[in-house]
Amino acid sequence: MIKVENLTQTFNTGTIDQVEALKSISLEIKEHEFVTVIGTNGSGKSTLLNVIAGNILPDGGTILIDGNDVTKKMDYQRAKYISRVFQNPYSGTAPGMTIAENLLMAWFRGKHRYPVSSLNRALKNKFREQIATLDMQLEDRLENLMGSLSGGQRQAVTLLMAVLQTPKVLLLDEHTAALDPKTAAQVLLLTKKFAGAHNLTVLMVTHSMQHALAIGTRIIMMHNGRIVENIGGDDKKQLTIEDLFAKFENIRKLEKLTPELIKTLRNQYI
Amino acid sequence: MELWIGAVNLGMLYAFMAIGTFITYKLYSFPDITIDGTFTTGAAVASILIVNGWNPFLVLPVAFLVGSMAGFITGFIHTRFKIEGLLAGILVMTGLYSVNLHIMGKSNIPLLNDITFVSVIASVNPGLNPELWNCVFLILVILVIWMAISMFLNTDFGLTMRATGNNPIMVAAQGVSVSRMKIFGIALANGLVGISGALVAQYQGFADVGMGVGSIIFSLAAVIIGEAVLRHRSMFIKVLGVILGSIIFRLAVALSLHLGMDPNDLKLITAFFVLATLIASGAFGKRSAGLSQYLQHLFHKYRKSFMALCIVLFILFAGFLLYKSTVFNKKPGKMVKIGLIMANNSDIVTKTRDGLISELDRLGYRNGKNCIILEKNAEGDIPVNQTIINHYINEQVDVFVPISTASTQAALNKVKDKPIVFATVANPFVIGAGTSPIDHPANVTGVYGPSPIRDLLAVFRKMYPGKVTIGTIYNPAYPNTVSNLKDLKKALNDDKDIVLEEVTISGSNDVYQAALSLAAKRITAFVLINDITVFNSFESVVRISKNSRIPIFTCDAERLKDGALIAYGFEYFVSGMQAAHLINRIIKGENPAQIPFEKYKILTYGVNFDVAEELKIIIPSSVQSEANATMKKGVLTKPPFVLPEDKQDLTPKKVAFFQSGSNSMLDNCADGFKERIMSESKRLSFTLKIDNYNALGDYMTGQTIAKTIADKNYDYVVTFSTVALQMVANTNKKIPHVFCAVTDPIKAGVAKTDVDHLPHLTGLATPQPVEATIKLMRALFPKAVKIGMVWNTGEINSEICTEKARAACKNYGFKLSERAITSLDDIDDAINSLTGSGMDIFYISGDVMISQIIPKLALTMQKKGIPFFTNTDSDVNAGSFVSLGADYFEVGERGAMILEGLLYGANPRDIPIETFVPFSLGVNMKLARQYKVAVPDTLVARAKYVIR
Ligand SMILES: Nc1ncnc2c1ncn2[C@@H]1O[C@H](COP(=O)(O)OP(=O)(O)OP(=O)(O)O)[C@@H](O)[C@H]1O
Ligand SMILES: [Mg+2]
Repeated sequence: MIKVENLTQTFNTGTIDQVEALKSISLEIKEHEFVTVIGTNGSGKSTLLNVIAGNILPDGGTILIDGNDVTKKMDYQRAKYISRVFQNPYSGTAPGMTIAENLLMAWFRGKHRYPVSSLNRALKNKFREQIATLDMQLEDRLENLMGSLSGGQRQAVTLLMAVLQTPKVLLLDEHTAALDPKTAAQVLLLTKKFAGAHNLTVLMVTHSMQHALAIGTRIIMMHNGRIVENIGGDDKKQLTIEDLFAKFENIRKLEKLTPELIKTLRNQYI
Repeated sequence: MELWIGAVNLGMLYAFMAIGTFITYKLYSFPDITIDGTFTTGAAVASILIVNGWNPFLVLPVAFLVGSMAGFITGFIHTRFKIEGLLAGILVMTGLYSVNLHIMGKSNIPLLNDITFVSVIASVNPGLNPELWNCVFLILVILVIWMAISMFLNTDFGLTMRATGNNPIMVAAQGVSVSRMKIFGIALANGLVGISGALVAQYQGFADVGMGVGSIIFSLAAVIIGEAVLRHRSMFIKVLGVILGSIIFRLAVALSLHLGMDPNDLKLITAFFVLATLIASGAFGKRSAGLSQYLQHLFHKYRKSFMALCIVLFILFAGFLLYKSTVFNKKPGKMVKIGLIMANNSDIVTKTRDGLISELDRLGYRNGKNCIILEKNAEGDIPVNQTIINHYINEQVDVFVPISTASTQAALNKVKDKPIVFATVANPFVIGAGTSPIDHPANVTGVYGPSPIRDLLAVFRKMYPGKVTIGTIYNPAYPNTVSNLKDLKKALNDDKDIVLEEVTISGSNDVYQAALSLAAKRITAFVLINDITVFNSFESVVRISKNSRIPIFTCDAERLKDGALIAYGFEYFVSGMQAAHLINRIIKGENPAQIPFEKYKILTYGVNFDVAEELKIIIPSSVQSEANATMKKGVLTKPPFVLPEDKQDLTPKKVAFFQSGSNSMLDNCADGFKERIMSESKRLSFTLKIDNYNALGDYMTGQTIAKTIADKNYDYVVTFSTVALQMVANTNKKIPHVFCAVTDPIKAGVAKTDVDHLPHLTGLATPQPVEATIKLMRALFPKAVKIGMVWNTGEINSEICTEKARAACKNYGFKLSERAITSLDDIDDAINSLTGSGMDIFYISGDVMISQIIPKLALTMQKKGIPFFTNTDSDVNAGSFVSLGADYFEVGERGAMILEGLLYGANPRDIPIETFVPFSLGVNMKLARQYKVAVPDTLVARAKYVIR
């Protein structure tokens, strides 16, 4: 479903701030695969997602989605294949518009919008049914402004918007990171539920190893702009947190990570 | 009342613009300054198309398109090159200034005589106050726009637009091109602004290149006020709020003017008003939220039927108007045809014709627009009258209007099934038009009246009692004359002490001889009945009258100014006016059979004091006091030509003085005017109540003042400056209006020629003496080659002066090197480039903007040793070398004399526009010595300002 080859992305080329965020990354994700991505801060996870989504046009490499070469396409042109949920719960919705209107925006993802009114009673009922699946008592608040919802509720709605029209690919970038643990768990549960229900192809960045292990069919570890581990199938099923740490240990050897850094990683991931 | 309705109307016209700003500012959160330019662009496009004969409604979509093109460019620059919206707007706005000038071809296009939406609406006015009728129309339009815009913003596309402003990241993720959405929104907004400009130009009657300045502030104010007044999420309520905001803003401006606040403070008041609204909106926000809730509820409930009603009404009305405006324009077959038949070119006939045409015009008949007025003159050849009638029958003329007896006779003969309205016939009953005013042929009516010969004889008797001989001259070939003579003889039957000597003639060449022979018979006076042949050669009689000191008494009011001592007669101009009313009644459906013949309604009893003095005749006081017209020192004063039914009483007169701004020229002019009129009014015991208005250079204030003046029912209005003239000419079509300090009234759109001007106004044209100045340059600098000139493309006056300078430079062998600028920021560059190219003389003329910095320019020129010429005399005090201009104080005084004439009852339509330039010179002798120029003493002696 997604096939990237030799993706490279360098920021601030030619300045002292030059960063090679992606160093020739190749990756293939099959249909219905649920891939989780972990990695150190600044390892290039968000950049990878942004390049796939089209927010950043890469310096080199190609991106195929469902066989279509989208390397040169703008983000809004890729939106017919791709849905996204951002880390910031405020990025995915328009606060000044009602929940129903926000859902309508998602209803037309990747399609033409005409000057006709589609938001009729039937469609609203459909939205109401859909939003009920979030189990957040939002069914009767369709006419409320998005801005009046909590961050967790907004993120849940964003997730719903992402799957309202079944996408070919769902990109999730630490979409639970800004939420309190309870809500985060709830949103993750929803993620799992939707992925299962629609049989989605998912690429999810997370900072939680538990999450990375708990869901998904494959796990990718990034470091310094490279994919350093790619564990799928039965290997993934048997993977434990300790195994993951062993991998990080490996990186330490390779990259001479200080024990302090390992410690901070440990604190951060467990 | 008109002031308030006018403010509401303006509010609705500007609401289009406010809605545009609502889209950019509220939906996309950037105030789009492009609209300052787009507003003018809309006006420019509309005006130029209208002047070229376009339908005033069809120009609106064009204005929309052109406006959106400008918006598209702003949006494109903003999104494609990532330039901040505000900056992109400023860029495009600046560029549009030049574009607008190119579209218009000049800085100001008057539309006073063109078909605008206002005139089309007026043509279907069922009799409401015009302003109110406009209001009805605009409310309908605004309802539809309200519906359309708010419905659009609720569609899938509209929602996406709103979401784009609200969260661009999100819409991009949903597959929407943020750039395209923004561009579309900005284009739409500017399209609406373009429509606003097109409507305002039509409403105010002209487009001006500076009319858009400050638009962004007004529309932001409207948006903010609207938000404070109505608060609700619903787009319907929000857009309604913006419309109300626009109206409230205009009402507030009108109110502050109505309360007589100093226009100086208007800007400050505006700022405070907006600020207060912002603060207060927090306080009454809650209450208004309740109201909005209720409105929204109501609206929600009846939305469908309401919308349907609006749309149906609009379509009906729009269709009707569109139909009307095309018929109005293009289908001459449906227009009523009025055919004038004139027997000859005598004064009597032409006066009648003029009165008829002007009154028809006043009644709304515009030749070629809503009627066809055919005019043919038989030039004294009687059979030709018949030919003309036949021609008219072929042309399917609807109303035949013969003027004078001969033409009427021909018409009576031939036309039986179409109405005839005759004018200026002494006795219609002798030519077969029935037996009495109410017993006449079914298709005929008209205006008539035998000469008031008895009254004339009565006056004669007051001056010359006892046994006397009088003489008369006539041409027996005309039935009219014969009938007049019969009347004279009948009158004399009652007074056996008067002996009548009569001489017949057969042509104008005989008149002198005839008069001479009468003089030889020692007659006391010439008593002349109306006879075209005699009047055509009236000077001959006057010559003999002077030589032999024999006064002339006549029944023709027109002869008073030509040298008759006493004229007792009808005003044929009024005869024409009366006929116009009859024509109007018939066109409106009345049956001519039911309309009695009318007698002339206005009589002139005139005494010529100049002649009295020359012939050493003393006019008895009884005659003096009864007379209503006089000729004194070459000035003729007559009673007003007002038909009795609309005659007004002679109580204190309210006069409005309107100055568009303050500078030495306008202030001088106003001072001269006021001083003179005040001293005259004391001497002549008029009571004047004068209100002074000054817009202090502010365009919007000026507009509102002009409305106020039209609204407050002044008896007279006096304007100083071209803009003031235009603004008032647009709001006021009836109050007599005198203008001064205007360079070119024809270019200002109020006149076609000196005599063919808007009927309710007249005044003075005072062009800058450009040609004379350049002639003076040549006289003072015989060897100079190059004149450098800087002018401002934004001022029509500056443009006119420059055009004249080009021509004059050719005549006097100069090379003119021009630099056109649009703002004072460019002046230094312009001067540098001129001095760089080696000019001998520097010249500026008639330019308000550049004249602000004359001291600075003068200093520069003195440093460089270049003689500096200007066209305002007092500029020498600020350092110019020679300044030749008009003495505006004198211009003002002259203007006051025109107002006097009006107070005496003259009609502005009869007073031609006078070109009046009282030269006034300033010269700097110090500089003359420095430049080694010999300024002739005679010139110095004539100068008003001399720097030694
Ligand atoms: N727009 C940008 N301009 C310059 N540098 C950037 C930009 N975006 C990312 N980078 C740099 O690229 C590198 C990779 O960043 P990226 O955001 O992809 O990391 P990440 O793996 O998502 O990290 P985190 O876990 O902190 O979210 C970092 O060094 C970052 O500073
Ligand atoms: Mg990241």
